[in-house]
This record gives sequence, C-alpha cells and structure tokens, in this order.
Amino acid sequence: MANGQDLQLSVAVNKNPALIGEQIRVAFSIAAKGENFIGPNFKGFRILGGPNPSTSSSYTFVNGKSESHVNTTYTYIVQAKQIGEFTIGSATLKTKGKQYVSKPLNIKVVKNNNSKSNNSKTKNPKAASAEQLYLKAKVNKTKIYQGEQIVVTYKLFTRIDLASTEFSKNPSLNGFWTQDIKTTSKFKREIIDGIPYNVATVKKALLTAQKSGKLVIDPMEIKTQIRVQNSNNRSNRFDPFGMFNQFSLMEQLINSKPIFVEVMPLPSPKPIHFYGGVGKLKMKVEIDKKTIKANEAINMKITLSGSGNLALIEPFKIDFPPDFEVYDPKVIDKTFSAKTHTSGKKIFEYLLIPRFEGNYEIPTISYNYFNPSTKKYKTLRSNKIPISVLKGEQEENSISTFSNKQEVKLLNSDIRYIHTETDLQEKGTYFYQSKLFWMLFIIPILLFLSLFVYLKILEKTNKNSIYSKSRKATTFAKKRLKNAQKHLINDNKNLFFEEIEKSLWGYFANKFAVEVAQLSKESVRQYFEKFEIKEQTQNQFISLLGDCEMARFTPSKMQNTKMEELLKLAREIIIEVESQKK
Amino acid sequence: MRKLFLILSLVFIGNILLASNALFQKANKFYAEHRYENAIALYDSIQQKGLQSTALFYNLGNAHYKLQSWAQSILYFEKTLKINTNHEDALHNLALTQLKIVDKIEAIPLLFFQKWINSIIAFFPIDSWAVFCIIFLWLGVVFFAIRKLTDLQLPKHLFAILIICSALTFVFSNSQHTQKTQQKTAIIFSSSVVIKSAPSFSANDIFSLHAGSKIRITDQIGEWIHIQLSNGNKGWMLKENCREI
Repeated sequence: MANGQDLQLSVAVNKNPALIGEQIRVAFSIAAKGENFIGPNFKGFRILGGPNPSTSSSYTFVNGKSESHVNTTYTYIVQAKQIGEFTIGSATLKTKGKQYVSKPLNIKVVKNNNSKSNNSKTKNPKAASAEQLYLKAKVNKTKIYQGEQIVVTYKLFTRIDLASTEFSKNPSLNGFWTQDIKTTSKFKREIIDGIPYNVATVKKALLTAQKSGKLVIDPMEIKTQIRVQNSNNRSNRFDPFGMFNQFSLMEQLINSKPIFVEVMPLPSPKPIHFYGGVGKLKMKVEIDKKTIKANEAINMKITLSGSGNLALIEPFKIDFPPDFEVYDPKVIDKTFSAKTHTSGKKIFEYLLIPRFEGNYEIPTISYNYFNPSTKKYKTLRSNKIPISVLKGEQEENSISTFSNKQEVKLLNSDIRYIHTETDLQEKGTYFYQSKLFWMLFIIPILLFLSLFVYLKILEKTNKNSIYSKSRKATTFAKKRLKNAQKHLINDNKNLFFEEIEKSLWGYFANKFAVEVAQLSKESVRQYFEKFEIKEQTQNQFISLLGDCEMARFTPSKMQNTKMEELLKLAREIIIEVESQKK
Repeated sequence: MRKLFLILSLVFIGNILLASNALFQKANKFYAEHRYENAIALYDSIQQKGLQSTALFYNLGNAHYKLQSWAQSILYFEKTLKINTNHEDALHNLALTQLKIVDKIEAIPLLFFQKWINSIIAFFPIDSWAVFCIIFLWLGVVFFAIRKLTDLQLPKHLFAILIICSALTFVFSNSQHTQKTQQKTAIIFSSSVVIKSAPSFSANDIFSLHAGSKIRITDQIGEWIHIQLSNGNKGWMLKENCREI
C-alpha cells in the first residue's frame, strides 16, 4: 500500500482472438481493496456470468517489517456472438475516494471451424496428429542476393497439452551467417482457419547469405512430451469430479520442413570500392583536428550506419597521405538485430600521425554498397578533408638508425672547412663544344679528307694513262705499219724493217704496260703467258721479231714480195693478240 | 674598333673578377666569424654576377650546413661535384649532410666495368679531354700526311692508334658534357612531397620524398616533372618542390 498513486485497474482476457460461441473470461483487477465496481459495456458479447469479485491478500515480512498486499479481481464470463472486432469498454472502480478507469480492450472474434474436433481433443491417445502438433519454419523472402538478410522463424503450433519441449536438433544453417533474435517462448493463442492453436516462437534468427546458390534452411527437430489422459481409467467411477485423473506422458519428435532459399550472386561488374556491404547504408567521416603539429595524433572516425549486413563489414583500404603513420583501426560494433535486418552502426577509429609539416589532404573516401531493394550499387562519398601540419617540436628525431659503422663514424666528425682560394669563371663556359674547339676539330678532318682525295685522284690519273695507252696500242702499231708500207714503196728496206720492229715492240709495251727498259723476248713470253695468249701466237710474234732484227742487218737479201708478206703477218699477229687479250 | 672593344671587355671582365674575389674573401671572413647569413648573402651576390667556381659552391654548402638548412647544403655540395666530380672535401661534407635528411635512398650498385668507365671519364675535366682530343686528331693527320707524301718510314699503325685515341677522348668529353649540361638533377626542397603515378593530382600516390633527396629529372609536362631516384623508383611531381643542381 506504499504507493497508492501507482494503482491501476488492469484488464485481461484468456482468449484473444476468440471463436464464435466460445466462453471468454474477462478479469479486472486492482492491487487494492475494491469498492463500487461499475462494469464495462460488453457490446457484441453475451454476459454469461459475473462480475464475480474475489479478493486475495498476502503478507510478506522483509527485514522484520510486515507488508500486506491485497488484490481484488472482478471476473466476467462472456460469449462472443458474431464475427468481428469488438471493444470491451472501460470499467470504473472506486477505492479510498479515488476513481480508477480501465483501458478499453479489443477482442477479435473469428469463425469457428472447430465444432467437430473440439470434443475429440484427447480421444486419440496414441499420437498427436500433425494437425494438432507441428513445427513450422518461415522465412520472409525466398529469393535474395548474396549478403542480403532474411529472417527465419520456427514456430511450434499445438492444440494439445504439452508437458515439456526440448530442442533435439538445432538447424545448422550452412552458408548463412546467423544472428539469433531474442524471442519469448511463451505460448500465444492464434487462430488459423478458425481453429485455435497455442503458438510459441521457438527460434527466430537473422540470416545473412554468405554464398550464392540454392541454400537450404534445414529443419529443426523438437522433442515434445504430450500429456495424455488414460482413456480406460478404472478409477474413474471412484472419482466423479475427475480430481485424480491419471495422465501418462508420451514422447513425440516433430520436425519442420526444409525451406529452399535462392541466393543470387551480386551483379557484375562490382564497383571498385565495393567491400561487401549489402543493405542500406550511410557513411560519416569525422576528424577531431584539422591543424596539428607534426608527430601529434589525429583521430579519424568512419561511421557506417543503417541496416544490412553491418556486422560483417570490415575496415577497408583508405589512401591516406603516405607521410601519415596509420595504425590499424579500432572497430566498434554497435549493431543490433532489428525485425528484419541488422541495424546500428559500425565505427572504424583510425589514429593518424603525420610525421612532417606541410599541407595534406585526406582524400575522398568512397564506399560502394549494394541495395537489394533497388538492385543497384550505390556510392557513398565523403568530402576531402584538408589537414595542415605545422612544424613539430622534435622533428627529425627519428634519425637514429644507422645502417653501417661508417655512418656512425661520420656522425662524430664535423664538416671540413671552407676553401679560401678560388678561380671564378663565367658560368657554363667550356672549351669543349666552343667555336674554337669545333674549328680545331674540323680543320684536321678537312685536311685529312683533302689529302685523301688528292691521293686518290693522283692514283686514278696514273691508272688512266695506262688504260688509254693499251687502248691506243693497235692504232699506234697500225700507224707504224703504214709508215713501213711507205718505206717499202720507196724501197727504203732498212727503215722498213725498223718500222715493223718498232711497231711490234711498241704495241707490246703499250698493250701490256711494260716499261721500255724491260723490253726483251723473255719479257714477251712472260707477259703473253700471264695473259694466256696461245703458244702459237707467242712463237709467231717472237719469230717475227727475230726475222725483222735479222733483216735489218742484211736488208739486201730480202725480196719485195717477202717483205709484203712480212707486213701482212705483222698486221695479222697484232689483230690476233688483240683478239686474245681481253 | 673591334680590337678596342675586345680590350675594353677584357678589362671589364677583369674588373668584375677582381671585385668578386674581394667579395669572396670578405664572405670567407664572415664565415670564420660564424656570421653565416652574411657570408651566404655575399656568396650569392658573386653567383648573381654569373660567376662560379668549386670553392664558391663548396663554401655555400658549408654555410648552409652551419645554418642547418640541409637541402640547400646538399644542393651546393652537389653543384660543387658537378663541376669537379672528385672534389674530396665536398664528397665528405655531402656524406655528412646526407645523414641529417630523412630519406635514405640506396643507389643501385653499378657493375664493375661501369664503375671503371665512370672513374676514367671523371679522371680529367671536360676541357682536358677536349684538348687531348684535338691534339690526337692533329697528330694523326700530320702523321698520315708525312707517311703518304714523303718517304719517311713511320710505324704503320700509328695513324689508326692516334685516331682511336682522339675518338675515345671525344666520347669521354662528350659524355661528361652531357652529364653536366643535359642530365638534369635536382634536390627536393619541400619538407615532404608525394610522388604520383601520373602528372595529375588525382593520380595514385606512389611514395613520398623529403627535403634533401636527390632526383633525376627525366621528363617534363607543364608544371609536372618525371623523376627517377638512384634506387630506380620513378614518378611524377610538381616542379616547384625541387631545385635543379
């Protein structure tokens, strides 16, 4: 009675929803002694009895103090008359001068299909039929994308008295990431097709599809104990009130049916910044300081909030400026299982330490997620965050790692002193590639080339003279032979032979580029052989030379006819040699 | 008239040189008195006249080292070495300065013959090689002329040997010249630069460089330069972040 202000007139019914013709108990109760109860308006119901007041009281002793609790209940028995939703109006109760009003209550009344089976409830003791006791699994979607979440609910429906229930096999749910949702496993009345059932949600879980394909939500198995009234009870007659009715317990296993869920792979192509987030997400990027000294820490928070497979989202790659020392982010999981999705936030806390002064920028952070309801990838983008880093207090302190002994040795020594002597020069003047250099470089090359060309020309003219001589050898020889003919006509025998000899020697010398000093019969043979002149021609040539020589000293012996023959022979031999030497 | 102009200009240049030498000595004095900023200002004024020398750059490097501006210091030591690859003091001081900077870039080791060739090329400065080249060339041509035009008996292969020597010295001179004028190297001056995979801000970050690192510039598109490190890494960055040696 300590807190009279908290008193309240509450109302309860035992069957909601109810069937037509069913008896419903409506109870109004208050934790006080009641007086002056005024009943409500039972529109749509027939009042079968009541109000029946009853009072219960209890005493408790706590720490030597006694407290008494009084409870007053007014009970009505009503019967539903027609289908529909009816409201039981407010009841009023007065106690200790105060008036309490109960809240109105809605009751749903449905059609009764149960008239036949209602009485045969416990007639069949052997086993409860599947109609009377079953386990049903239900999912809210059967076609989902990978990473999308579905809710699976296992419900136990019963119309018989269960002594106990016990999980004998929990579903393994392969391919899903499972998050259980808390359920109250109290039985609730539910009417299905006009048949009232007691229904309990045995298990409710959020499933996140981890792979694509046809996944099975496998059945659950529950072991139940059914209380069965012994039908052939002999003690029945001694117990007309049924107070000592004997019940036996019967075990029964019930299974739910497997459900197939089609998991579709996420559509390709996946965006670059897709890291597996599926659902409906929002991103927030926060930073605690924008101006900082080098070597001090910045806290950066990336918050992903919304609904979806948040619990599975991992920290992703962010391109921080390379001069920032970045530590692995702290992951704060503030997710909870809502009705059909995981909701809440996932926070990644980064600790960044810029090591050098300068102006930096945390780049745009992009995050792509897949929205299964629109079947599209969506992009979340943060703004760039400029960070200006000032010069730190103990910058460049980190240089204490030396890779070799030489460096340590160097550290102890100081720089060498400046030079006091100098020869200043104009900038960028080299002798190399100056005009003078190129002149001195090109002149000798030109000299060399001209010398070379000069020598070549000299050689060529030499060669030319020899060639022309050999070409003209026949003409010269023929001229000489013509002269010889003149001498023959003038009867100048001595000159005639001399002219023929000269024409032969001259031809030979010119044709074979033989110097005059070397002219001899041996050299003739030698040169003829070198140029492959026939032996016969060789012999003729030499014998002709011999004849002429001989005739020069004894000209009188020669007759004119013989001389003409000789001239003719000389002509033929020259032609012969000419034709053979090519 | 032309002669007069030449003489005048020579006198003018001589005057500048004399004045600059005086400035140089004054700067050295400042350095000795630990007034490094003043010393740097004077050294810079000599530079602005278009004059240079190993000592000038070397001293600038030292002065910047004393002021702990490592990137500048490295730049001037590298400049010294660009003129004289074997400048021992600059090499020593550069090694010390490189301990102070952030990036430790390990150069890809050269093959033994590359090392030999490099050391041969660096043995004489460009102009010495150029003079050798000219001398060998002249000797070669003169020997050729003597052999061909007179009866003097000279060794047969001398001409070929001289021409080959001339060609080699030309190549050495040329390769050193391209190394010093064509090949652009630079020192990073920004405290930190992000190297991109392409010449655009939206390109991926490849790595980052810090003040004092030496890079080779291999290409340029607008404000972006393509760089290569001695360890072989390549990428793009904005030109304003570095200064050429």
